[in-house]
Amino acid sequence: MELEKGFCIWFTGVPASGKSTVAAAVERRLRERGLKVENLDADEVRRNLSPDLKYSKEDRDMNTKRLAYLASLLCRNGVSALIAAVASYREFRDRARRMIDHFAEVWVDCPLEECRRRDPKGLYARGDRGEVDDIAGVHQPYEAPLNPEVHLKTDQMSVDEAADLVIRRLEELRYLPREEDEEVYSPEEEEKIKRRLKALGYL
Amino acid sequence: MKQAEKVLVVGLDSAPTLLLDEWLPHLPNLRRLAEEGVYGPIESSVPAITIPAWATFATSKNPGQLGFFGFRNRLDCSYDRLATANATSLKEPTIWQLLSQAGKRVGLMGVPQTYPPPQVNGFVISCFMTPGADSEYTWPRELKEEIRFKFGDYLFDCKFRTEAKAALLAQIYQMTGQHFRIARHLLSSLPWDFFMMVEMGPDRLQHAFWKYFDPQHRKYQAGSDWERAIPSYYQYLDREIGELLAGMGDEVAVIVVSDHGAKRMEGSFNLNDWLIQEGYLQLAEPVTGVTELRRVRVDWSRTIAWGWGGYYGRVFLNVAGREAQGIVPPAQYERLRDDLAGKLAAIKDDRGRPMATRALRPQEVYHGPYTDQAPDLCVYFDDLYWRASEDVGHDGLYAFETELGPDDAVHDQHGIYILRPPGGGGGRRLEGLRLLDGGAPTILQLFGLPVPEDMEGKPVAI
Repeated sequence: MELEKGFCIWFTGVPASGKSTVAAAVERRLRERGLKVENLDADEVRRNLSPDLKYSKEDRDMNTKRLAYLASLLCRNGVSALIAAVASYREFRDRARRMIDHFAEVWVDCPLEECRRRDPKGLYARGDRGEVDDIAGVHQPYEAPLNPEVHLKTDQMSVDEAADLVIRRLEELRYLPREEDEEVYSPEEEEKIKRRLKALGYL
Repeated sequence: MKQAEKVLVVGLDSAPTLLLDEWLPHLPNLRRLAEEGVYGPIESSVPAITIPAWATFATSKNPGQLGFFGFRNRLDCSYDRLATANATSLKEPTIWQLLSQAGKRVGLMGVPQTYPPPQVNGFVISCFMTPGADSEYTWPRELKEEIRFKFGDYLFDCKFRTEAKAALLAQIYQMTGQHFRIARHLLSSLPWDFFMMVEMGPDRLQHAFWKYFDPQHRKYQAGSDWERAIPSYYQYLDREIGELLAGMGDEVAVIVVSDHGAKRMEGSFNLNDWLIQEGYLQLAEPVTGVTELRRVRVDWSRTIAWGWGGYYGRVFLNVAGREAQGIVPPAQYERLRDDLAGKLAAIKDDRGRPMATRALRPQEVYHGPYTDQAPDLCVYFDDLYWRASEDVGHDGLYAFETELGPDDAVHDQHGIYILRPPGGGGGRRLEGLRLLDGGAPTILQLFGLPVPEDMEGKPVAI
């Protein structure tokens, strides 16, 4: 079977907006369809490839470049890559887009108040206590995407709905074969099947 | 229970309980599986028809939850908008989806309701509902070429309504043989954790040859050349299954299952002719000769009920405010339905003997969001010994020959189930098995995976 190129989806958004959660749900749907997928967890990649990097703009620049390079290698070899990482500057994401043929930017958009309320890693709380001062969207700028392939407002939809939107967009982009949910049979085929079922005694 | 590394399901569409009760001593491979595992008759869905039965096995959901009650289903409350159930009608999670999600490699072959082929984590060859060999019937698509190159065009089905019995028998063997050859090829050349195939051959064979084999059949012909056609075919199937399993260790769990059973057909009851006779169904013009209901003009403004045929009957009431031209006042619905159910149950056979007919109300047999979309009555004429015909214009209410050609068997509510778990199960015969239990939940448990709470069945206790 021909080895096709993979695609890369970059889930971008401020901390606690739901990037990893949606990425995991999309990953499940893709695996269900038999696709080879690698979910490049931003924290894990940082731990393994960039333990030296912190959260300054320069360090963020280097980290997103490494992520994009990793994804480009995977995609070239038929493995699709999901990246859930803030990538707070537009230029970081645009660079990734240039490096990867089939690329989709998913803006995981959630109001800051809601992100603060969720705060699964306690990051905003630490910010409030003055323990960190480099949170994107709070202490540092977060440049929202201008033309993302998908815009998810995660405070207004369930995880499943969000993942479905992403999958549908991937089908529109022809990165994924479409699940045929419209008319399965043409009118002629439907008639043929009906006759066959009647002859089989089922009707 | 020991966890299974792999699970192999061999579906034998329509295999009857006779297999367990009488034939097992002559089927060495199936007997060994039964002796090393558990086995017993298994209760089908209502109705006991290929669709929805295999879907119930695959999802552990009843038709009220699945939303389809047979091959064709009404799309709305008009009279003519129908849809044929296919893979996209399956909205509930199937065992192949769940296992794909869990990272298991899944293979499917010939499983009803897998056209168009679902995009599983693995491979699919779709089922006999595929329009033709030109259709895209594999996942991934490239698999089709490989199959065609190695085995020729995939044989989806054969037409059993023929008097050319020798040619038909040869065709059934050819089809079944090809399927098992392909199955062996797939299992040995592709990675898999779960493989399920469904062979339609038994169903087709039984419809065509039952009268030669069952002395109780009305048309039984003693000493015919075909007397042993059915048992011999099961011995052949047994050998094919033996070959399929050859070389597999007992860490592979094996399930052999049928979606329903089979028994002799007494005849065909002309449901719509009866509804006309009883004043429930009014035609706008008389018909000459046997005519399909969809080709006839029905006077809906005076029709109370109409029916669909098949191996069971479906009856719909023409309800005001629900059907496009409904006339039954909702306040009278229950009473009218009870009356009709009573009359259907009282119908006698052509010899004036009572029939064990059951006219089931959906609320008795289904639960779930689609219960209200079920036919108003689901009719098992004489406990399925009689099929139902929806054509009108017959000469009388009972038919024994149809213009379509011969058919000698009907469905039985119980099929067969054999499960050989890894490590064995002591050869116990189990009673009370259901398709709801024996499919998805049991397979998940064999893999050590959690059974979703909304599944209606429980894993078979081994």
